[in-house]
Amino acid sequence: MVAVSPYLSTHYRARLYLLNTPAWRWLVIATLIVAALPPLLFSVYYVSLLNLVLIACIGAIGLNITTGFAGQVNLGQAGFLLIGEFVAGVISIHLGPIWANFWIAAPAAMAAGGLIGVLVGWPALRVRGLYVALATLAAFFVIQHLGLRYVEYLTRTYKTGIDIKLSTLDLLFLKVESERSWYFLLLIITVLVIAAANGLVRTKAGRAWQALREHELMTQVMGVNVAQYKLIAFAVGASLAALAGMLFGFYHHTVNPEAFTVEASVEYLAMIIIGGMGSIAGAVLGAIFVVLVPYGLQWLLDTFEAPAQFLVYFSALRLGVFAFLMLIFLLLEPEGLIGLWQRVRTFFVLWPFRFRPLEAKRQ
Amino acid sequence: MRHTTHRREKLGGNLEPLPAREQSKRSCSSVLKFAGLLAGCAIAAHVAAAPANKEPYVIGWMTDAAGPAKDTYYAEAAGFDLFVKALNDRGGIDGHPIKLRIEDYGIDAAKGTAAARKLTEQDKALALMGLTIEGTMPGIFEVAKASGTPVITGHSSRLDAFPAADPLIFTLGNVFEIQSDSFVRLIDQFFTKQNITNASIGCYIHESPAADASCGRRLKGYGEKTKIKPASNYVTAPLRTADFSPYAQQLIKDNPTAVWVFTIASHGVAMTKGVRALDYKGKVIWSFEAIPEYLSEVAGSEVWGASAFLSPNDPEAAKMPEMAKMLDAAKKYGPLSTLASGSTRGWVMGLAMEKALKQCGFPCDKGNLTQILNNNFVIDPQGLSGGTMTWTKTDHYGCRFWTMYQAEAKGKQVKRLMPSWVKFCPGDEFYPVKK
Amino acid sequence: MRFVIDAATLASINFLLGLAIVTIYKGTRIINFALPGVMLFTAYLTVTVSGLMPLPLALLLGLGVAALLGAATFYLGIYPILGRPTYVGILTTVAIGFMLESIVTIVWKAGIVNLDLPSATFSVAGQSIRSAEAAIWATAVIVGAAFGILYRYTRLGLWLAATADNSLLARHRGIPVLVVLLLSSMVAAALAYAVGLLLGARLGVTMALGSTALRGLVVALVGGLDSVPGAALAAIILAVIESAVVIHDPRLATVVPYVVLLFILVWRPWGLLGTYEEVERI
Repeated sequence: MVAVSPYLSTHYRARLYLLNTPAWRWLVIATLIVAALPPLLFSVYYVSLLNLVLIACIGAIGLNITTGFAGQVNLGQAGFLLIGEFVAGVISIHLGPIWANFWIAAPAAMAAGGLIGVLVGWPALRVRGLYVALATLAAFFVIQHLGLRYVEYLTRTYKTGIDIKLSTLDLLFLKVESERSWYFLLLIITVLVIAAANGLVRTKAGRAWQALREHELMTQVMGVNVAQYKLIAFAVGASLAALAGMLFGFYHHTVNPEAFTVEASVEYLAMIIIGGMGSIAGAVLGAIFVVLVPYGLQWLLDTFEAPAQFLVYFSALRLGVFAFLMLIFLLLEPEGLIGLWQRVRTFFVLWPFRFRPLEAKRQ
Repeated sequence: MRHTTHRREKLGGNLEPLPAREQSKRSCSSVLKFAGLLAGCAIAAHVAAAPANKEPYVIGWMTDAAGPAKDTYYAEAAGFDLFVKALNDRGGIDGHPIKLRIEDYGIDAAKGTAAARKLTEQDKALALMGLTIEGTMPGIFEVAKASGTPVITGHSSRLDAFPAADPLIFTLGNVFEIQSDSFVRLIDQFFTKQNITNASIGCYIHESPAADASCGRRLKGYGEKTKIKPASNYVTAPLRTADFSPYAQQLIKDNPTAVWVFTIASHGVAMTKGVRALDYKGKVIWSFEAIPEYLSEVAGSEVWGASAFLSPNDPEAAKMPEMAKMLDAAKKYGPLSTLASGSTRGWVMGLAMEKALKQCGFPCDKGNLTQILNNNFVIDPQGLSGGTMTWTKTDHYGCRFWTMYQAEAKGKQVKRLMPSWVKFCPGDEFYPVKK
Repeated sequence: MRFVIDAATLASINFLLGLAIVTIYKGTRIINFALPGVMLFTAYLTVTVSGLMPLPLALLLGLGVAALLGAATFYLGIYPILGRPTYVGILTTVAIGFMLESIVTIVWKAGIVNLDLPSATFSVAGQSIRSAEAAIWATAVIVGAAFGILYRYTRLGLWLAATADNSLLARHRGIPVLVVLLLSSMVAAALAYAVGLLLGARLGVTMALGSTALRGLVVALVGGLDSVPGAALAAIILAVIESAVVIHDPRLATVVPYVVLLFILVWRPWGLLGTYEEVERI
């Protein structure tokens, strides 16, 4: 049996363990209990907000793997979400509501996402950094265009009028219809995704990603197949985004390409930046923050009884505040909320000291 | 052969980075202090803002205040808002004011559903009014049905309000199919009155699911039911188009007598400018509720406009007492946006809501309110439209009355071209009742 | 014939926007995504101010504000993050662009305003050409020539080339590198302003102006991010392709530049006339 210690490991396999200390295990159990409470305590409105947060979490974690871990800036994450939404649409409309089954739709969405992710990542192999970002942006526009064509085709062929109604998501034994049941489903999926992502970054792939993020040439020289791992990064990020998109489509009962614009892509990037790049927990924190800030802003305006004229200001304010926060985090807090949290935690852990023993003052 | 050095991808070439920030002294305490300050402000505001008059009726209005469709929808929010302010000033309904909560959700269906939830569950709105484009409506309708809240839509609506109507969905607005059929008859009658013969007509709409139901259906109707020669196909452009010249060219290719520019305001203005720049001398027709009349000044062009209500920019209409009330309210309170035909609709929706709430009494139950609206509810626009509109158990649509205006290129005023109103009701030959 | 006119106009706009991107990239290796916001803000401001003061003054004021915004973008978005990975630069400029957009929405309530430039129409070879279009062509040619001369024959151009090549060495040699970078940023903003005005004169100033600015990106990439003649070549090629596609199926025209971009990135990532060493291969 390999010796398991959270600080020292002598074997790569030891680092694969996720909950290797009692503290972690208790923390996770406590978090799960707390996370299961909202539908029982809060009104449906707040539960619906949390549902949006959870869907965003899945997409953000995917983006964090592509961009945060592997360093491949992906400006087209919204496009992959779109693909997931289309899978939901195709299954629901073309194949019929019988097939609107989670066990069929989810693998289909993830497969489609993975495939398109590889296709998008493939031109990115030849170029570095900046060009990757722009290639993904271009790919996003192409995907969005195809999406609009598809919606047009749907409305003309199926005469579905203005809305494209997707059937309710089926779990084989119950239908997911109310906000509360959606919350539990999304919570379970998100927890699984977090666990899987955490495991993934502890494997050889994860190490390869971190290496190629730091210095691509050296990683290649060391014998790691950089191209393969880049593609895997894209595939994983895209498939998670497609999963999120599929859930989004079924949750809102629509296929709406206009919901995923460049601003949405930037929002997802902001989530991982504000949360902290290269950290799964950061992606979750960032998603919570970015999704809830507009609602917080609105709550502020409501509390202060702002006159209706402020509505115009409000929609613009949302964008402006969000951009401002992103800028502040980029400039002042490059490690994001996770970095902030770690500093706070270190402060309390080390108090009344300021530095760990035998540690030089860090710049 | 150049010696290629490997360079890490860094900004500013190989300039050194700025000296890293010292480990900041920010810690928990400052965060807590800030949070405490914010909480304190919120509590103070709640205490300070508590009103002291009689219990209000809460009405929710959903609109697009700053997005791509704001020119269509914000004007009617402005009209309703003015009505509510004027109503509250003269004592409300038996002393109870109306508390209007306006939610801006643009054209995003997901945001719309969230906003509807907030209005029905948190603000406990008695009714949801307004709404924006049709694509956003299914989600909002679901929320409304789940909470038993009646919905009265404004400019846009869906067949749910048409016979046989959904019990909770009402409208004073338009469904594309029916509006198209109405416009076929309107233009036909209008051209006849103006002695325009051998007319041909084209249509432009932005790329959207509604394209077929509006321009497509319209052109088909002209071909089948009138002597007006329709263009072979309608022209559409993507929502984010920047250069409209190729589309303008397509639209006026066969030099039609008139062209419908039936789209969102920014596209409407650009297309109108585009066709005029190509020296198109024919008439450009807008629907004033979709593209407000004051924008003809920006488009630099004289346009004809179809309107279901009197325009506040019509000097003749200002003589009508109810219109004078709206203009006075605008002067007193300042409207949320520039007034247009859509604002008149908002005002009439105010008249309807006042009547319904008066009948409902206080406290008003949502079921009661729905019952009143269902029960041969007559809406009298007080001269602001061609006649009364009635909602019955099966028909939550009612009749519509259309007229034609001409908008001047300079100045915001409009001139009435058709002194009469053309009436359309469900069951009309142009207006199939079957969905 | 109409095709040639439209293509020429489109090529001119493409070129000016591409030039803006190339200018900034040459010095700082950053793509400035704040240009759409700058374009919107300065266009709306100029139109509003032109009602209060004579037109040339308003235009100059707009130019000044554009330069100011370029400097602000530099100080807020580029200077603080020199030395950090590239995507940070993309995102800070994106954030600044969004903030500018939101200010525009708040102040001008996302309305449509008209730029009343004196305009005339004249006809050449049976096609009517509006003065707005002629102005676009003239601007592109003059600006292109000016930049060509600048980069090749003036000291400032030499400084720019040196900074782009090896900024540390340039600094050691006494070139005020930061001043050079600041100037590039301001000039790019001024170019964006010019394009915004020209487009606004033609179609009115609306919020849609922002999306036009992304073309500059495509043009710059296709032509080579650090090459002015490349931008010109790419501008013409893209304009011709797009104009041809537009006649066929107008809706495809918005996505065609991005397809071309993807193709270039796969086949020749450093652009048509860019420097080869800009890209690494795996």
